[in-house]
Amino acid sequence: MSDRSIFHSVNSVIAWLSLAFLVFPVLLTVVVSFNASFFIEFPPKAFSLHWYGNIGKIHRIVDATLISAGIAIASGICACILAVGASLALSRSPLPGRAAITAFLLSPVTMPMVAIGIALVQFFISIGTAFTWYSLMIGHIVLVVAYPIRTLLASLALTNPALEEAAESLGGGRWTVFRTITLPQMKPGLVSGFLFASLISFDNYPISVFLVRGGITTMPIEIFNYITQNLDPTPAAFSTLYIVVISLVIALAEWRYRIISHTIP
Amino acid sequence: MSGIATPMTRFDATDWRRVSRGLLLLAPLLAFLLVFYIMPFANMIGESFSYWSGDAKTGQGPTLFQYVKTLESARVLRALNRTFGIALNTVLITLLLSYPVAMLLLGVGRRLRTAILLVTFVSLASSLIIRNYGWVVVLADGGAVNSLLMALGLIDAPIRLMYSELAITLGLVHYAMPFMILPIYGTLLRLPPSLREASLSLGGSEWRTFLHVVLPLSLPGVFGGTMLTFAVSMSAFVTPLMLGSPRTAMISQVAAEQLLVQLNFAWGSAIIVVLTVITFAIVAIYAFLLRKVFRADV
Amino acid sequence: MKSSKSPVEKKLSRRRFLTNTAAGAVVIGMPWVTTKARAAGQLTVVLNQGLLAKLWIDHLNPVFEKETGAKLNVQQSVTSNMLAMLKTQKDNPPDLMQFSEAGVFLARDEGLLRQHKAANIPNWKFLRKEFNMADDYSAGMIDAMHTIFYNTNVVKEAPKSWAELWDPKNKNRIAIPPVTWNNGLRMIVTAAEIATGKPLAQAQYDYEAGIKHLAKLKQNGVVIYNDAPQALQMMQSGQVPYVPFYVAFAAPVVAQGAPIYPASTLKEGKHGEIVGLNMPVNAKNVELAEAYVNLSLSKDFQSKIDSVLRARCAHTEVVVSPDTAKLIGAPENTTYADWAFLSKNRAKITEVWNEAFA
Repeated sequence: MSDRSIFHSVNSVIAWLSLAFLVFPVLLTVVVSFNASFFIEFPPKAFSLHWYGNIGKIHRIVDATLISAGIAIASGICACILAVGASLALSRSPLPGRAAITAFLLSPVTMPMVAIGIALVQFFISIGTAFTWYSLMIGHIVLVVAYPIRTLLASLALTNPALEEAAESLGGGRWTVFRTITLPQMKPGLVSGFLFASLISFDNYPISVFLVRGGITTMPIEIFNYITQNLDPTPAAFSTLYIVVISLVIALAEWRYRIISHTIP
Repeated sequence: MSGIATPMTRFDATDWRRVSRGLLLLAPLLAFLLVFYIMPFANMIGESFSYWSGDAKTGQGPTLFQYVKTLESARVLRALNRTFGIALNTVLITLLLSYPVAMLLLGVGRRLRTAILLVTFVSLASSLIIRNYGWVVVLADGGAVNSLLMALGLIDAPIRLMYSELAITLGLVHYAMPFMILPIYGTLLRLPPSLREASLSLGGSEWRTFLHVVLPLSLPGVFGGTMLTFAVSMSAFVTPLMLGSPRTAMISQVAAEQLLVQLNFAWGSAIIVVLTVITFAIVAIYAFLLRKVFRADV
Repeated sequence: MKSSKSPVEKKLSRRRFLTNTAAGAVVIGMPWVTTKARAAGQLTVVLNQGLLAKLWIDHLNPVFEKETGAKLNVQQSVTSNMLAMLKTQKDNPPDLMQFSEAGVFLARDEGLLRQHKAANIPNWKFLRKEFNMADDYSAGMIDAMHTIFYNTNVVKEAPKSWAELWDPKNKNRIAIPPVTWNNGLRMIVTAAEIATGKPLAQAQYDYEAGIKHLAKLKQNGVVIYNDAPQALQMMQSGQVPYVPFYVAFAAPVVAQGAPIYPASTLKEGKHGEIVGLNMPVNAKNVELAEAYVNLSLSKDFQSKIDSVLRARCAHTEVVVSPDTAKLIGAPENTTYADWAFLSKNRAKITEVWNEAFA
């Protein structure tokens, strides 16, 4: 065997094992969700759909999921709007200290989420608007705004500003130039930025858990509470449903919009 | 083709106009972050320099009391040590598992590639809590791993896998893999295949080609992935909460406990500041090393 | 996919679909829909953990919502976190909190609780005297008995003393609760009793000696559990056969046939702890809260505490049934602690425990 194929075989083996590792817990959760037993055991001795019916019993799950979805979409949109201006400025204007500004704008990603959550809840309490839908959304925007910035900067780095200058010299107003030349070029960055931002917001626990109280709650919080209070595999049923829905959404987005190819940084 | 405007040697009216336009575009985000990011953190840092009502000494401050307390607390130091160890292990294991996947993606056909990427994306999009719950199922005493080991006759009774550093590390690796696979794959995609072919045609083995040509050129992607994995692991909160026990507490949990239960905002804030400073310092040193020593473009 | 539409038209309808869906989702999630208070009122209740709270969630809450038409907002927490909640939410607290005597005395002395008005709660006359805690400040509901649970498949004889946890014979077979749970503090007290040899009434003040002795369990490979499901999972799988736990939290699982059983007599005494419903001082929905307390004290619901949770309940007319007596053992073997002292020093005790264990 040539050394070429040994190298590639070894690599493939490790890669497929890694992919199996990635998929394994999900597969098992799906199997356990059909297990009739009250305790988590494998292999299951009897099968039942009982836990799927029990999903409704998760405290305020419908409310929580709707709130999470609303916050995710709203944060994603606001983050993208804020990011568009910033990324244009960073990539088109000769601002001093560009690298430092960019590093600052991207810093929320590396900041401990617990820190962001606690700093914000203290701040909101001090100005008297704590535990509202808007304060939760603001907390999420702070967290996710870095993602559209990163993807938009990557998109814009691949474009040519000469196109815009040409359009302007041909008499196009600034807004028209933006709408017809710049925005379409930014579309991959916008789409993937929005997707990342919304997904990260929807799934967030550490920031939400500090910013919510009373009437507001989010899906990750309610699922987490159920898991830490109850022994039964109802969360497995919920997880299975969730993953099926997400897979369908992503598969659909890939088929129509080819988001995967756009998101490779 | 870079979209970045190149700075001129002499600033004239056009440049000023561009700079002011740029500032105008940047202003909303900067204002937003000033109010909702910088101010709350400044507040928190300020808190860390004050006394708590239950402290032995009290006074007005500012004082380094909380930071001294942090460095003297055996518990905090143990937690920091443990957190750093888990973070390092997570980065290494994730890198070792993800790089081969990125390379595999280069070699397979389009349909398989899309399928694998889909799996990666669904993993990314699945809630962290749901993914951790998957590990609860796998590692439980009655779960898959124990059943498999018992069926194979390797053990007689279930071994304790859950609520341990091992479980936390597995959960974190699982979480971080998509964050590592995608950037590395992205950089590998941009490498011209002619480079590899040239190296091979000059008599280099596959392994040497990888080590001396592919790997160094993929460092930007590796850096992005490892930096993100490290930062996420250092500040991990949900994963150790679900998969660990009070004896495996990571630093975020220690801080949260002070802030939420003991209501010691001063000390809790100090612990968070220490964690943030350490994380940023390590990432900065790492970037510096890569840039200066390995001459990588990160 | 072949379509007769032009690329521009396809793009427009795609865009419209996206915008509509996005707009729809945002509207649904918008604040005014979800935070609007209903006409009949809302009641925010913070219940305790696990299966104890589940009894309220499954059996009382639906009845309450149907009878009063009000909407219940349920959260769950532990005593220590609830005390912190009381302090930080003084201006906007929940309407009712379910925590034990471990927190009641401290909360009352710090002015965080409001007295129950017996006149507004008809079922108050059925409240047993010892369940009326801190002079009407807490409506005791259930005596959550804490003892050593053992796995009946792995262990043939029930443990007879708390000291057996320190027996090197039981290495890697024991667990203890975290200090954030009240039984965690009772473990410290019992450890102090064993270490100093003094009776409970005196030993409970020497928590440093207690924690030092408890820390010796580390050499015995002790596991510290995080939450109720974890403890139950450990017990019933037999992996950790000795787990100190509340009878009320595990009784429904025992009834399901899990191979676990509580030790009914321990030399140093089992730990009794009365859990009740408490009203924060600035609670908004007092009338609804009183109705909730009243319903919780009804004979119907209180008998479920005996039949489902297998615990002593507050209602004077509900006698401990024989099956329950088998599980909780003799009342003489149950001990209660000085929570006024323990809760005042809880922060310090927690810190010392953390340094020793975490």
